[in-house]
Amino acid sequence: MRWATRAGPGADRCAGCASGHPGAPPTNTAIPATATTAPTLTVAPTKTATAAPATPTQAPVAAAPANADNCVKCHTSQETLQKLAKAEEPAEKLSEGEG
Amino acid sequence: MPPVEAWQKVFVDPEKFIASDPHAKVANCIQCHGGVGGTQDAAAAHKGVVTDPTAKAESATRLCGACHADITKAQVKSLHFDNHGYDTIIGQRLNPTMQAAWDKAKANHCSSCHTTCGQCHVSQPTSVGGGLISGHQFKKVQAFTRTCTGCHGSRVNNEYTGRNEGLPADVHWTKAGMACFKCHTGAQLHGMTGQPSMRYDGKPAPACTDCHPNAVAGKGQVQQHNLHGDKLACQVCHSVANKSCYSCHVQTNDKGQPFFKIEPSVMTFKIGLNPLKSADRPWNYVVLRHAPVDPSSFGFYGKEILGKFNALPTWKYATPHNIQRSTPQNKTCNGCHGNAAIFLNEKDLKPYELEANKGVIPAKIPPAMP
Repeated sequence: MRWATRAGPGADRCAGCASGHPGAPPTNTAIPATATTAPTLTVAPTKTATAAPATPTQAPVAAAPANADNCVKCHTSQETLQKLAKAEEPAEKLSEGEG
Repeated sequence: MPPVEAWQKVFVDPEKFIASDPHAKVANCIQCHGGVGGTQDAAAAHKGVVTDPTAKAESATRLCGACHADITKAQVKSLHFDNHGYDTIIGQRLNPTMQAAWDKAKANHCSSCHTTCGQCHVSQPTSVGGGLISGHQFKKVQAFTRTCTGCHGSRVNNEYTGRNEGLPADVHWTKAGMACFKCHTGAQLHGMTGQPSMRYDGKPAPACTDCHPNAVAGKGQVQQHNLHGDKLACQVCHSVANKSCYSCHVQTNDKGQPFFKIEPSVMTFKIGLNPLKSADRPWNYVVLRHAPVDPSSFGFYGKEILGKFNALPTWKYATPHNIQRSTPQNKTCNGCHGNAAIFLNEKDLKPYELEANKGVIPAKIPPAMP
């Protein structure tokens, strides 16, 4: 599989995916099984003037889109697609005349 | 259109798309097309896949509209997207008590022809077999031979590129090689310049005089332009024979598969009275072509479905795409004046369409010049 990389933060990501899942080697799971230490999206605690201290809440994490490596692997391989391709059966010719 | 191999229809080019296309950076396959990740089983991976995620207004708006909001907002209401032009025209002929029958007929026979964001910018239209054009690369303009003329092929493409035997191609093609979008701008195609009720609603867009302002009466030196002024549509003098169609009938078989039967087309050149005369289209005379409708075209869905068949002429306003500077009718004054053969008359009509076309048959033709 070909992986395009980009420099800077978030480098080494799958070019077909904006999710920021780790680059090579790709995993086949939509969400990494291991807990990440740095959530992809965190909400900084806000300082409020309320008397009661805010109860700490778990920082929301952006839903990670499903990993599409399997799609890319097959659909970028001419050889695979040619092997899997089924000749299209001509549709039953029902219409008559110029369309 | 040239056939596309089955594998090629779904081949995603790793260079053109994965590595280079900005759209590959903002979403992955599943985010647009659905399906299941993390499996190597093809059937399981394709569960829930949507081939064209832009086929529905909601999904087109959510996906394409996230970045291209103005275009998408107009596009999902455009003639290209929802085919409301059919409702405008058939609606005028429709027996008002048979709306449901028409809705069913439209869904069966007309809806497959609508186009979507993806079916112009990424793939061939589904109605001509679909298939990715450039390895899933999004292009502002794909080759018009794979998109525009995929649908507008049997009439427009054949006229424009000179595929009708004995008839010349359009001068805009032969001399300038102009692709469709040179005249039909993206804004117009996306419905951003207004939402016409049908193709010829409102001002001509494009108008010939947008590029040829000197052809307006009084603005140039061509005597014929100055003489005829707004009496004639440009095509009356500058187009040649074009395709007329007759008696298309639609139905479904016992499996529910839709199909049609249509009489052979005929090349015609007929001038008639302008059925759409207005301030926007002021000409007295225009070119007409025969639409494929007859009273029983949708009879499968109800005998009286076109109960107001005579509401519109069957010889309809036409803008043939085979423009020439010199044509048989403009070579001499009497190529047109006194030439009854090129004016629509009752002999051109079948008995059932006499009433419908009363308004477009000239009472008299321009007399021959001495």
